[in-house]
This record gives sequence, C-alpha cells and structure tokens, in this order.
Amino acid sequence: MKRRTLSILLAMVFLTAVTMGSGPGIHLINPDPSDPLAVFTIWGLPKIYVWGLWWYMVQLGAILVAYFKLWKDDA
Amino acid sequence: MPDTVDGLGYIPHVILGFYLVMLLVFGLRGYRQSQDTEEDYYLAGRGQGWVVSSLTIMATFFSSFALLGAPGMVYRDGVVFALFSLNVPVAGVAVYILGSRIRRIGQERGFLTPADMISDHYGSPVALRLLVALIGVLYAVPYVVIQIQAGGILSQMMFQSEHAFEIGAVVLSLITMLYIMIGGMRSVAWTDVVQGVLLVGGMLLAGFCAVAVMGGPIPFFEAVAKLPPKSLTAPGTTGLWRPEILFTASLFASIGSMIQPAQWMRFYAARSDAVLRRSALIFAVVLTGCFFFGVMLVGLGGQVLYPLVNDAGAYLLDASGRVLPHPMVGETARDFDRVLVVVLQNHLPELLGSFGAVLAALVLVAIMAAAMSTADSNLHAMSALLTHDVYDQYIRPQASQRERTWVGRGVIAFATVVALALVILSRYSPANPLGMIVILGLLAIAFATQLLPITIDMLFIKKGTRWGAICGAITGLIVVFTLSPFWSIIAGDTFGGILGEMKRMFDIGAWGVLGNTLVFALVSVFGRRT
Repeated sequence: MKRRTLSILLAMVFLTAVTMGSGPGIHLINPDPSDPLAVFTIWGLPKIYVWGLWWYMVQLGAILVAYFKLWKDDA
Repeated sequence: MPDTVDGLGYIPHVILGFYLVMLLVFGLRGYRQSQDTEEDYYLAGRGQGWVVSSLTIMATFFSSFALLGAPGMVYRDGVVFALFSLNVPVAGVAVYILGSRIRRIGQERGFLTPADMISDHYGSPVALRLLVALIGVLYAVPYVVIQIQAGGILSQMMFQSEHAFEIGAVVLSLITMLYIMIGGMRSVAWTDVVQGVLLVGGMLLAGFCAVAVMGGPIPFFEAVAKLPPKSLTAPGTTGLWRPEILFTASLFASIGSMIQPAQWMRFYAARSDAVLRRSALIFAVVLTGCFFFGVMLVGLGGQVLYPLVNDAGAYLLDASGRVLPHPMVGETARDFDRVLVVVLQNHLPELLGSFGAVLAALVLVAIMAAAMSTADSNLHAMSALLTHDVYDQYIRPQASQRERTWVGRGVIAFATVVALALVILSRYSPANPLGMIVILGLLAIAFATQLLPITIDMLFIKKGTRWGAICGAITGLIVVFTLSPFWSIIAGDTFGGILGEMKRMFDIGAWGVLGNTLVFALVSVFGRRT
C-alpha cells in the first residue's frame, strides 16, 4: 500500500475511533436511564466502558501501524 | 489530633520523607551538571533521550487531574467519564506529529520558547510574542494552582490535623520551587522520571486496590452493574457529560495539553525525532491503560462503597440542588476528589494488613508526585516565558546569561508564592472559586488550546498572516474568558441563558478554537487581498 494511502486510511480509522469512542457515537449504545427495560451491561461490564475499551484498541491498532510503517520512515 | 494517618501508621511519613529527600538530591545533581546559560537552564542542552523524554512528557501531562480529579469525576458522574481516557492516544499522536516538527525547527533556529517560533514565523516580534507568552501564563497559573491545592487536599486527608491542608500545600510548593530553582530543566526532567514511574505505578496500583477491596474483578463488576442507571450511562449523574461535550473536551484537552509551553519546550529538548516517536507510542499505550484499568476503576468502586444515593434511591443534594458525595467522603459538592484517598485509607490496610498500608502509602506518594511533576514543569515553563519572552526582549536585552538564569529563578519563586497564596486565600473564601480539579484543569487547557490554530498553520498550512494570528488568538481568549466561571463572577448573567446553553453544547476550549480559527482565517484572507 502506498504511503499516502496508508496515512489517509489510518487517519480516518483514528478519527472514527475518537468520534465513536468518546463522541457522538456513544448515542448508538447509550441506554436510556429512565427505561425500565434498558440493559446497562454487556458480559457483566458497563456497556459504555466496553465501548470505550473497544475504541481504545482501534486507536492503538492505528498508532502501532503508523509507528512501524509510517513514522519509522521519517526518522 | 491524630499523629498518624488513619489505618496506615507512620508508613506514609517514611515513604513521603524518602521521596522528598530523593527529589532534592536529583535537584542538586541537576545543578552540578548545569551550565550558567539560558539554553541549558531551560532545555538541558537539547539532548534528552527517550527514557527521560517519555517520562517527563507523561509526568507533565498527568497531574493531580489524573490521580485525584479523574477518579473524583467518575465517582460523581459515573462510568461516562472513563471515556475521557480516549483523549490520551490523541495526545500521544500529537507528541509525534506536532512534536517532531516543533523539535526540528526549534533545533535549527535555536528557539527556546513557543513564542520564539511563532513570532519568528509571523514576523511579529512584539504583539504575537507577548500574546503567546500570555496564553502560556494563563495555562500555567491555574495548572500550578490546582497542583498545590491537590497537595493540600492530600495532606489534609492523610494527616487530618488542623492545618494539614496549609502545611501540605506549603511543603509541596517549597520543595518543588527549590529543585527547579537549583537545577532548571535537568532537575525537572530527572525528578519527572522518578515521578513518572511513581504515577504510572500509582495509577495502576490504585485500580488494583479498588478491585481488590471488593473481592476481585467479578464481584467488583457485579456490584458496579447494580449502580443507579445514571452512573452507567451518558451524560452521567449531573448531566454534564453529554457525548458532544465529552468529545470536544477530549479532543481539545489532549491537543491543548500537548502544545502548552511546558510540553513545547520538552519537544525542543528531545535529542531526535526517534526519541519523540518512541515517547508517543509509550504515551498512547501505557497511559491510556493506566486510566482505563487504573484510576477510573477507583471512581466506580467508590460509588459502590460510598453510594451517592440513600436507601430510597434518592441522590444526596445540597441546598442548591447539587449532588453531594457520601458523608464519609466529604461534606460539600467539591469533595468528590477525595474518593481515591478515602478508599485507600479505609479499606486497604484492613484487607492486606501492613502490606496494604505500604501499597496505600505508595499511591498517596504517587498523587504527590503527579502534582509536583506538573507544577514543576509549568513553573519552569512560566519562568522561561516571563524571562526569555519579556525580560530579555524588552526590559534588559543586554543582560548576561547568568543574570537571565537568576531572573528566571526569581520568577519561579514569585510565581510559586502567588499560586500558594491563591490556594490558601480561596480555601478561606466561602465561595472557594477554585472548585473541583477537573473543572479548573479544563479551563486552563482551554486557554492553551488557543495556540492550536496558529500551530497548525505554522507547521502545515503556512497561509496565515501576522494580523490573522493576532486577531484569532485574541478572539479565542475572549471567548474562553467569557464562557469561564470568572465572567459570571464579574458580569453576572449578562447574556441571559446563551452562555449557559453554549457551555452545555461544547467544551469552552472548542468554542474558543472555533472563534479563533474563523477570525484567523478571515483576517488572513482579507488582509492578504487588501
């Protein structure tokens, strides 16, 4: 993959992770606290905590690829 | 008046004493290796390797905000604030993307402060230099103040004597002041190494302790799952952390924290791009983990151990309708920041005996380390801004290198005393304008974020003009100030509910950057045409 394409792809993945993890993406999984049938946990953990962990992993993936494939060449 | 820390005996005294002596030894070592030049005093010869750079960048970034403020905010608002951790990888990326470019230009041109680079790029030796120095001071002052305040809170919680708050605040301030004054950047960076290791360990240890006192991960999360629904959803207990606020605060807090003067000077001080590349990776991986798996769990555990609701499920409120912590944590709406210390003190020695007391004492010292490492970096940077950008340029340009470093030391002493006085005076003010650590910290970052449009233009776009940069930065500062709590103290409810509505929509730093960028772009475009 070309360097420029990879840069754009990683930037998009990273920005998506930020927007979803700690931004408006939270609306997608945020339970309504006033709903008596709402489910607040998944696998025993609070849903939005798991959501945050998932997007943390995505961010780290993008950073690791950038570190080894892109940033390395700048040195 | 107890002489020992509840449940911990004299262990915290011993560990704290050892830690403080070690800081002074590092300060003296820095002094012995230093040369009497401004560049050496502020940038330690521009030769920092990756271990020192990564730990000093981490220690400067993480303050009492991380070890007291963040668990306090999770304790108040619930799991939603744990998502704020996602700002840390953004800051990590900024260390490399912005930091390596800043380092290269700084090294080529011999720059010492952010204002050197910015005023040189835009050809504005007076207005922009002073403006950038002002932004730096507006960031540094509140940040130093909250670290000193944290030292006071910690001391009060640990020693519980009548004047423990004041004694803790004074000891933290004076020891920090002393080692920066004697050794400059070298001492600050070396002590940051010790403090960085302590605070990373302390954050993880705090999370481990919180889970351990509740019997392990499964009982911990079973108990967390039974918390009130507001604690498990956005926008949290008080309704503050709407996703849009969280998003803008995370995004701009991370970048704003990375372009504030103390970090900017750490980029100048790094030996090479490779140093910053490695620092960026360590920063993003390690620190985010410390947040997610460390201190954030303390806040959640705190809600289980010290519930915010009574037996009937109603929140404890003060006379103004603000949510209150459990009475065993504190008595006012400002006392949420105490939760980590309360959990450690009350449960760990009981669970693990004297080993638990040692662990608790180590985390308490880590909190002190977090506060001191940020206070020292900001006092040191503020000294550079006022000495290099103001004294050297306009008051005594003919001053010798020796005189300049001594003026820098004087600035550190003066700023420390002023910050300490602010902390102690506000403690005795019925309104206590300093409030909770996170809120004041975000305000300081909002000021620093006003350097962002200039920085992005200078490093990447290169289309802005001098007047665009000046007008943009002034607009950003005015917007942030107007949205800050200080405006309502001075002007009351001048704009009706508009300001309150704006604050509920986005973080105030984001509003500032928006106004700043618009004005910067418009003035640059129209200025060029005319």
